[in-house]
Amino acid sequence: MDITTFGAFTTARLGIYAAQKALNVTGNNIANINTTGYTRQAVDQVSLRVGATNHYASANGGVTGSGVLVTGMSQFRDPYLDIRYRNENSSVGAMDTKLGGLEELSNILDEVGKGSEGNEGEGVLAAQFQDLRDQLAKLTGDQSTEDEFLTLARSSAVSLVKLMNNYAQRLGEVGKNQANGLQKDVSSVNDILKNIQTLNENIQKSEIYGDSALELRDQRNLKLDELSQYIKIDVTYEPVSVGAGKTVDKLVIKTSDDNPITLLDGDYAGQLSLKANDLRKNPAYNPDAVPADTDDPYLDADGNPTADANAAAKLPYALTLSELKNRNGAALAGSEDYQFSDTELYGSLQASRELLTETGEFTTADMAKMDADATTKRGIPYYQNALDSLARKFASVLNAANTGYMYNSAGNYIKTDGTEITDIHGDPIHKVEILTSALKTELDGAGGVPLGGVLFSNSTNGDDTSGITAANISISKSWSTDASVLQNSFQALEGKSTVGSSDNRNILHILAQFDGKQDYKPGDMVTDAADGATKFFSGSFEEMFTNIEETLATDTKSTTTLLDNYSVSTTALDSDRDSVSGVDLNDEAMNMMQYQKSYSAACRLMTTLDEVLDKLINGTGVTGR
Amino acid sequence: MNMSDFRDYLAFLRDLGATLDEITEVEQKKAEFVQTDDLNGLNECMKREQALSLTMRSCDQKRDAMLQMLGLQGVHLRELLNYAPAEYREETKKTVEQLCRQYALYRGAFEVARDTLECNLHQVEKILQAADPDAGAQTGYQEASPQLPSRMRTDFRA
Repeated sequence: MDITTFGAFTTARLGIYAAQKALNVTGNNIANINTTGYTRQAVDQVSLRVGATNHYASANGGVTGSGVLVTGMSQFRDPYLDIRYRNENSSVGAMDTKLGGLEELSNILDEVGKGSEGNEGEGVLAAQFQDLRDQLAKLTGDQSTEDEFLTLARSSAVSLVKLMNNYAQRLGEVGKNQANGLQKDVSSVNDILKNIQTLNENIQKSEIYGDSALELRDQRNLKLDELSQYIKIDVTYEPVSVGAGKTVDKLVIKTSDDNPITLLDGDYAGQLSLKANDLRKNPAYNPDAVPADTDDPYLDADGNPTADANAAAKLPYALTLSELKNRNGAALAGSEDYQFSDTELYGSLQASRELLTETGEFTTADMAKMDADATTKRGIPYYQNALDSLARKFASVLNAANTGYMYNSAGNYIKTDGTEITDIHGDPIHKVEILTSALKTELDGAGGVPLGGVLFSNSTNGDDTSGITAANISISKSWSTDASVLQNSFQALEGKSTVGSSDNRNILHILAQFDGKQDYKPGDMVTDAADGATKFFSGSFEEMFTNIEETLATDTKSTTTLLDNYSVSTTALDSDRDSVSGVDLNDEAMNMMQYQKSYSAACRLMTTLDEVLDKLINGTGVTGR
Repeated sequence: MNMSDFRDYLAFLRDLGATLDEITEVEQKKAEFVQTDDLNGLNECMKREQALSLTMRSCDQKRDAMLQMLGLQGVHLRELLNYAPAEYREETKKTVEQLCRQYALYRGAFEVARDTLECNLHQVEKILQAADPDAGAQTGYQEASPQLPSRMRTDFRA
């Protein structure tokens, strides 16, 4: 025998110990069957062989092992599936956040079927537009009902502008909620990074002492899964020497991009900060450099460095990663603050940013330079601008239709005495559709008779029409105090200098404006829009609102489809991961039986060895005694 | 630029979008069949995908020819609006945006189908590796001890 006489007892003892350990691990697996993030464990064991082969070893003896050694515990995990899962998870996070935001917008703007009775497909705003038309149509020039209908028309217009105000206010609230949500998400990401940093420290300490800290690794994996929803990440493990020939794995998290940015490096973690309005920083600039950095601190919209803050590109809801620090506050060498560019991130953080910043057709030239797709990305500001655009167009068209000077049956402007106003050549000035300020001045100077007035203004306190938006559109002060500001006609009675009370030509003209096609251009709302002069829609007021609804519906539909795709894939990947890492009762039941038998067999081996040795000691060479 | 040619090009882009929709549907089905281990369904999808790929290829050639006719060789879809005649700008914008959206949906469905397939192939690979008796790198597998070199064996003649 190449083991000592009593060495076989060690073999049996090690067998018992290994089986016991395996039963413990099986029990731990079963106990954690419902623990979130728990990864199935297994005992690592190797066959023990004592001593080395030497020159005088017998070639005929055969070499047998000396039992089994438990070298540690390991987890059943497939890194491939983890990587895939986390990649898909960032897509789910992005689409889920986007869809959440779009659904909030839909609650406000998608009003199909919420309108008046009898017309199921009609929306609230569309119904109110129709109501105003109906009230205006009642102004037929009949003097017995004129005053009543003038008041009703004004009331209807008040309801319409209040609806627009309400929509704008609610859109603003969605924006505020989204901004708060983004701030919370940033805090969550920071908490996760801190948690992983602490876990990394503890895992490293455990590893140094020979404990693989599997439960801590489970916690860390859960945190990594959570983080992957917010930001698309790449996770790598690098072996690091801790002295005495020992190495431990260091976890590094980077953003998954062409320009990967390290978020966490072992014990060192960065923290994100959010700034609602920031200037685009030059990554090459180091403010702490000694002597002072010769690079410029900012980048303009074209990506060129500049020292002029006024020339720097604006970066709304900018995310900046701090330098990586350990828990004692010491910074990682070479690490510095980093501001993410407009399109550098992917995941729910970026989806939130896009909801808060993307303006679609209203994108400024500077923003379009930073993101070539910006004009097709639409977030809350797009819908705010589109609604503002509708309110402004509505106000300007109706104000223009209700403002003018008296003219005669020939269509020429006249004075209070009924005589025609002439230009410098002595020719009569013919009426125009839209009065220019120059013509107004000329007519005022020549004694023209101004009629009508502004119907809609930017507040109820005056008649100022500048900067009208959906949030501030109001009935002008003039109209609110005098219902008859709504001008029935600008044409004087034949041979007189007064307008006929039963003449409703201008009311019909105003009604015609509701059906007229209006051109909506980004430049009407945003002076430095990239494509300011190109109309993005042409249609009536109601059609414009329907277009806003359709744009939202299309975006919601495609986002829902993408989310469905990614969700199904993520769920399938999670199931795949579970099939590898999850505890399976059948497997564990088999393990239990297997290790229980191993345990029994090892015990039986000990009994057998005892019997064999008893024979050897007490029953050998005793013949004849 | 010939207006009717440009109108035809916009119509072509809409047709291309319809083809993309079809491929997107095939990709979604493909992922579904992979997840449910339906090999026959997957096979059918592959055939349809191949046919649609050929259609796409001919579309690509047609697109090149049409762009050449319009004098817009090398113009990216995103830039088409800059070259569109004024009366077609709104339609061009809508068509381009719709096509980009359809392409994004196709990319999403394609990535999901590809990932699902790759994950399944990864599993198949793992199973094959586990079943292959020649694979020496398996956990727990111990190679037979090599025979001791002659100099390390006891020389019985001694």
